[in-house]
Amino acid sequence: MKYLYFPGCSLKNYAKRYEETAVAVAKALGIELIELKRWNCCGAVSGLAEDSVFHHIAAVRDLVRAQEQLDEADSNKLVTVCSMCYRVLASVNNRLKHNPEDLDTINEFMSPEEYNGGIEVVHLLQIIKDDIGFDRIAEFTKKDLSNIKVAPYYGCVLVRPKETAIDDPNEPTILEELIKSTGATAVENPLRTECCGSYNVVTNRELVKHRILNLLKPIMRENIDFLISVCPLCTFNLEFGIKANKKELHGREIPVLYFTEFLALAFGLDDKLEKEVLQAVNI
Amino acid sequence: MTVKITLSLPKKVFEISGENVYLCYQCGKCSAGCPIADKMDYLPNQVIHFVQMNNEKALSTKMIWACAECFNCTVICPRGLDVTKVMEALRIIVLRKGIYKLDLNKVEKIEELPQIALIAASRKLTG
Ligand code: SF4
Ligand code: SF4
Repeated sequence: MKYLYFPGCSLKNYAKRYEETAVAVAKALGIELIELKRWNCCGAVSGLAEDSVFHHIAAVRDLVRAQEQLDEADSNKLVTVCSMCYRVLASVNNRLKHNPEDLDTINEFMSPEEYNGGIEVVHLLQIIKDDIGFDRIAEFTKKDLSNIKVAPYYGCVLVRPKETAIDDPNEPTILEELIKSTGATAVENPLRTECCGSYNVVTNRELVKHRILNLLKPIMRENIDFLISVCPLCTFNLEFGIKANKKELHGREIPVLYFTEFLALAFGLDDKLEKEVLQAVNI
Repeated sequence: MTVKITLSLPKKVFEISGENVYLCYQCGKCSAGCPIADKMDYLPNQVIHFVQMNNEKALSTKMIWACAECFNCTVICPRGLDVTKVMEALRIIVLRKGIYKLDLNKVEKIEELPQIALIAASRKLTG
C-alpha cells in the first residue's frame, strides 16, 4: 500500500530517529510512505479561536500539497508520525470540512491555490491498527520480548480533544495492544494520557521537571525497561525530566523510545536504531 | 439556544471562542484534572469565575499562560464548557493588544530546545 506522508520539522531534525524507524518499520509491514514533495511546518499547535482562520493557513498549504500528489497514492489518507503534526493537520482539516465558510475564506486568501477538503489525516498508529492489523505485528516480530516490560505514554495530543482523538480519550488501548502484539508486557500506567508540560519547557523548565517526576512516580515501583512515546515534544520533556530528576529517581535512567523504535527493535531492524538507543535498552 | 451575554469580558470570550462561560457551575473538576494548576496562582475554575464576574484579573493570571492546552479540562467538564478554548480566548484578548509573553532573546540555553517547543511556544505566547 502506498500512502502520502507528511514528516514535519521535528522528524527531519531533533527526532531523526523517529523518522528513520517509522519509514523502516512501515516498509517491513508493506507500507510505502511517499513523502510530500513540498511541505512546510504545520505550526505545531493550532489556533482555537472561532473568529479567525489565520493560524490554519500553514496546515492548509500542506493539505493542498497532499491533494496535488493524490494520484501517486492508493488512498486519500495523509499519514503523519509526529503526534503534534497529526493533531494540527487533523483539526484544521475537520474544521474546514465542517465549516464551508472558513474554507471559502482560506481559499480566497490562497487563490489560485484551492483546497477541496478531500484529504483524510491519519496517524501511523491508525494505519498499523486499521489497515495492517496488530496480528501482523506478531508475525513480523523476530525477537523474544517476553521478559521486556514497557510503560506506554500517550501524552495528550493523540487522545484529546475528542474530535481528533485516535482512541478513547480516557482509556486508550492502542499502544498497549501494539506492545502486547510483540510479546512484551505493557505495564499499567495510570498517568499515560496526562500532559508532559508541553511548550512550557521554553519558559519554565522547573514546571516541566516537576511534571515529569509526577508522571513517573506511579510507575517507579515497576521494573520497567523503557517508556514508549509517540511525540517528539513528549520525548524531549521526558528525557529532560528524567535527567533533571536524577536524584529524585535514585539515579535510574529510564530510556524513552518512540513506538517505531520499539517496533524496529522487535522486528530485528537493529541497523535502523541509533547506537545510544540500542545500548540503553540492551536487548 | 440563543445566548444573551451582556457583560464585556464574557462577551469577548464568547465572540472569540463561541463558549458561554455561564455554563460553568464551579464544580472544580477542571482544576482537579489540570496538570499545571498545582504550581499556579489561580486554578482554571477560578479563572472561569473571574470571567463570569467580568473581572479583568482573569487576563493577568499566570494560569492562562502556563496552560499547556492539554484539553483535560475540556474532556472532564460535566457542563460541556470547552475550558481550553476559554483559556485560549483569554490569551488572545491580551495578544491582540500587541502584548506578548515570550522573548526568544531571553530564553536561557535556547540551543538545547527542540524547534517543536519553540514553534509551539511562539504561536501560543506571541501574536
Ligand atoms: S469542570 Fe466545568 S463546570 Fe466544573 S468548574 Fe470547571 S468549567 Fe466549571
Ligand atoms: S488545557 Fe490548560 S487549563 Fe485545561 S487542564 Fe490542560 S493545562 Fe489545565
